Amino acid sequence: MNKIAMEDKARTASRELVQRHYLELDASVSGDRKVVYLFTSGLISELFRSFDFIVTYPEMNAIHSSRRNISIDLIHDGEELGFTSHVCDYVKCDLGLMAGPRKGQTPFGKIPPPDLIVITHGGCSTYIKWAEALAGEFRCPVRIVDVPFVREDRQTDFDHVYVRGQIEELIPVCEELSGRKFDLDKLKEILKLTSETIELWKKLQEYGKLKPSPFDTYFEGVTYMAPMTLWRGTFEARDYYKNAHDFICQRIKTGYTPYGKEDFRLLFEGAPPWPRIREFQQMFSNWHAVGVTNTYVRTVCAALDLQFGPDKPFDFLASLASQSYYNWNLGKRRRFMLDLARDYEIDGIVIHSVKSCRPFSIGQLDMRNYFAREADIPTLYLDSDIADPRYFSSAQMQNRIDTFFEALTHRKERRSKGDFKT
Amino acid sequence: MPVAVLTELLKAKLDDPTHPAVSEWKRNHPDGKAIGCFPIYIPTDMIHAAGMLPVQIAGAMGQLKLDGADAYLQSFVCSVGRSTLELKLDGYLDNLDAFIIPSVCEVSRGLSGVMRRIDPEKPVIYLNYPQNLNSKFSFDYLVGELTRVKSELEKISGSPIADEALLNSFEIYNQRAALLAKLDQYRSDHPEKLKTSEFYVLRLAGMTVTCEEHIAVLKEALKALEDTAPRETPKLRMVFFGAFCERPPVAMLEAIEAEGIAIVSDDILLGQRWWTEPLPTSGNPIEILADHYLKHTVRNPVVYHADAGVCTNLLSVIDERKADSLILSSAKTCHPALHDIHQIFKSCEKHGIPYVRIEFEEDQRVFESIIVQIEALQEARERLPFAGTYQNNSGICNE
Repeated sequence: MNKIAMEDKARTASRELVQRHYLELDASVSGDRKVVYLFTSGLISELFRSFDFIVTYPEMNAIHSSRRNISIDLIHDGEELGFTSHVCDYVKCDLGLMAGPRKGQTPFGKIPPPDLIVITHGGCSTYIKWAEALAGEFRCPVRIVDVPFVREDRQTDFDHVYVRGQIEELIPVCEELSGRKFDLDKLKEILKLTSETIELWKKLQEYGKLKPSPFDTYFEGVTYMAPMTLWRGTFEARDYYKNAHDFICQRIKTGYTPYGKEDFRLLFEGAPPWPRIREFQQMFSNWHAVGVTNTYVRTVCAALDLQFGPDKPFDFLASLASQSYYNWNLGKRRRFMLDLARDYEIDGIVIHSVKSCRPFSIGQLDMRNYFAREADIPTLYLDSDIADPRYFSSAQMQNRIDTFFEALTHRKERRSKGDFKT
Repeated sequence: MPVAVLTELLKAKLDDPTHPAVSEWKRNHPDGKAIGCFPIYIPTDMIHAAGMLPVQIAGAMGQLKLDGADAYLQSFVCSVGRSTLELKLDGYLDNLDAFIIPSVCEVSRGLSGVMRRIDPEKPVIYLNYPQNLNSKFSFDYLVGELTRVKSELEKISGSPIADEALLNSFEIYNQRAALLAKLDQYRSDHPEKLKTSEFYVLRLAGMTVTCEEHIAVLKEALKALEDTAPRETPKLRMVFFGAFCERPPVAMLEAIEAEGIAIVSDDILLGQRWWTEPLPTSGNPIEILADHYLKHTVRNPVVYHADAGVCTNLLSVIDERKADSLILSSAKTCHPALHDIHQIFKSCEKHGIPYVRIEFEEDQRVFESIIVQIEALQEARERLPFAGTYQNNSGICNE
C-alpha cells in the first residue's frame, strides 16, 4: 500500500460518516423523527438512540464550521445577537448559525431545530447558557443531567447515585416525546456496541506507545474522533474503529510513521485550533514531532475508567456521563498527564490553551509551571482559539514552536552525552 | 450620625488587603481558626457553628498588582479569580487556616486546583452544589455533599459541629438576612436617604467580621437613617444587575448615582442575601440547608432554574421596584454573566425596558464611558419615542 493511501483511509472513512450525519440531519428537516440536541462532554447518546431520535451536537456544528473556515462569519452573526468577544466562540458560532440570518443552513446541510435539548453538565457551565439560548430561540424543553465535579481522586458514591438517577428520570421525557415505551433490551444492545467501540478506541490510542508511533494520535486522532462523537452506539461506529484498527496495524507492519521519521514524541494537552489546524500541524511535522499521546482526543466521548458494563445500563450510562476529563480537578489531570508522559516516553508536552474553552484552559498555565519546573518535562504553552481564527498568530506561533524544538534538540544532544542537568 | 458619615468611616477600613479584622479576631481567639470563603454562596453558618470565623474573600478590590497571578491564570480570567490568587501568592491569606470554594464557574474550579498545588498544607475545600434543582435525587446528593464539607470543617476545627450549634447559627444568620432585606427595601423606598453605594459599603463591612458584629453595624445603620436628612430626589430609578460574584468598585456606583440615578436593586455580594426565605431553625440542619438550597435559592446566573431563566426574575424585580430602566452590568470576562446578555437584551427589547450595558473590573478607576452611556440613556428618555438597538449596547425600545 502506498503512503498516500495509508494516510487517507481512516480519515476518508471518518469524513464520510460526518457527511452522512449531516445528510441525515438535513433530511430530517422535513421528516417526522424527533431531534434531540446533546453536548459531547459526558455524552449519553445511547439512551436517545434507543428511542430512535436523531441526535446531534451543537459543538459539532461549531467544529465543522471552523474546519470549513466559515466559523468567522458565524461568529460575527453571533456577535450581532449581543454576544461579546469574551463569550465562548463555539456558542457564538452555533447561535450565529441557528439564530442568525442563516437559520441553520450550512454548506454541509441544514440543521433542524431541536425538539428537546439535554445538557450533560459535566465540566462546562457554558452548556447551560448555550442550551437556554437555543431553547429561547426554538421554544423547546431543556433537561439537565448534572455531573458533579470530581473534587478528589474519584467520584463519590453519592455523586454516582445522583447522576444515574437523573438519567433514569429522562425516560418518561423520552417516552412522551417519542410516543413509545422504553425498551431496555434495545438500550443494552446499543450499549454493547458502545462498549466494544470504546475498547477499540482505547486500543488504538495505545499504539502511540510504539516507537515510532504509527499515527499522530492528536492531529490524525482528531479526525478519527468524529465517529466516536457522532455515531457512538451504532454498528457504523464500531465498524469504523475495527477498520481504523486494522488500518493502523497495516501501518505498523510497514514501519510507517506519519512524518517520515520520528524525532520528537509529544504529549498534547487541550483542544486544537480548528480553523488553522493544518497549519498548526505543519509547524510540528516540520520538526518530525509526533503527538504520541494527548488528553483531548483520548478522553472526549470515551470514558477511560468505566466501572460498569452494558449489563447494568444506567450505571454504565452514569459512568459514561461522569468521566469527562475536564471535569476532573487539576491534581487528577496532572497525575493523568504524568502517567501518560511516563508510559508513552515523551520528549515534551505541548499545551494549547484556547480562550473559549475555560474548563480545559483554566489551570493550564499552572500545569506548565509544574511540568517544566517540578517534573522536569520540557513544556511549551501556546494559546489561540478553537473557533475564532483571529486569535491564531502564525508568526508568533511558529517562532515559539521553533524555539521550543531548538531547546529540545539541545537537551537531547546533551542527554545523549550523559549530561542530565538540562 | 447620618448614614453617609457611618459609611465613610466604614469605607476607610475596607480596602486593606491584610484583613486587619481577621488578625484582631485571631488575637482575641488564640486557638480560633479562620476560613476563607470565595463567592458566591458558602454556608458560613456552618463555619460559625464550628466556632470559626468565616472570611469572605472576593479579590483585592484593585489594591494589588497582579504580577504573580498572571503566571498562573490567563488574562481572560476575571479579576476576582486572579486577584484572589494574588492575595494568596503575596501572603495576604496566610492568617486563614483553610479556604472553601463553591461551584460557581470554571474559574472557581481552576482556582481551587491552583491554590491546592501552591500550598498543599492548607486545606482547600471545593463545595459542589447541584445544578439540577428539580431531580428527586438532588436532595440526597446535596445532603451527602454538605455532610462531606461539614466533616472537612470538623477536621479543621478539631471538634464536631453539634446540630444545636448549627441551628443556633441559622437563627443568627436569619437575623442578619432580615436586616439586609430591610435595608434593601429602604434604599428602594427612600433613595433620597439611603444610596445603594452606601448600602453596598454596609454589606462590604460584614465580609471579614463575625455575623454578630455585622448585625451590630446594620442596626447602627438603621438607626443612622433616622438622623439622615433627605437629599435631592433622584431622576431615574434603575436596577443594577450582573455583578453577582465580582465586586464592582464602590466609586463606580457613586459615579452613577452622581448622575441623579437611584439604583433601587442590585445583585452585588449576593452570597449574603442568598435565601428568599429564612432558614427553619428546627429539624436536621444539614437536611434543612439542602432543602432550602433546592427551593429557596435567590435566582442568579450561576444556578440553573429550569422553570424560568434569569430574564423572568429580572423583569419581576424591575416591576416590583418600579424601576425605569436597567444597568446590565458584568465583570469583564465573566462567562456566566456574558452568556446571559443575549437573552436579557431580547427580553428588554420585547418588554420595552431601556438599558445600558457596562463592564467593570475591580481595579477600575475611570468611569467616563459608563457615565456617557447613562447620560445618553437619560437624554434619550427625555426625547421619547426612540427605538435603540441592542447592538449598540444601550437602547430604549417603546413597542
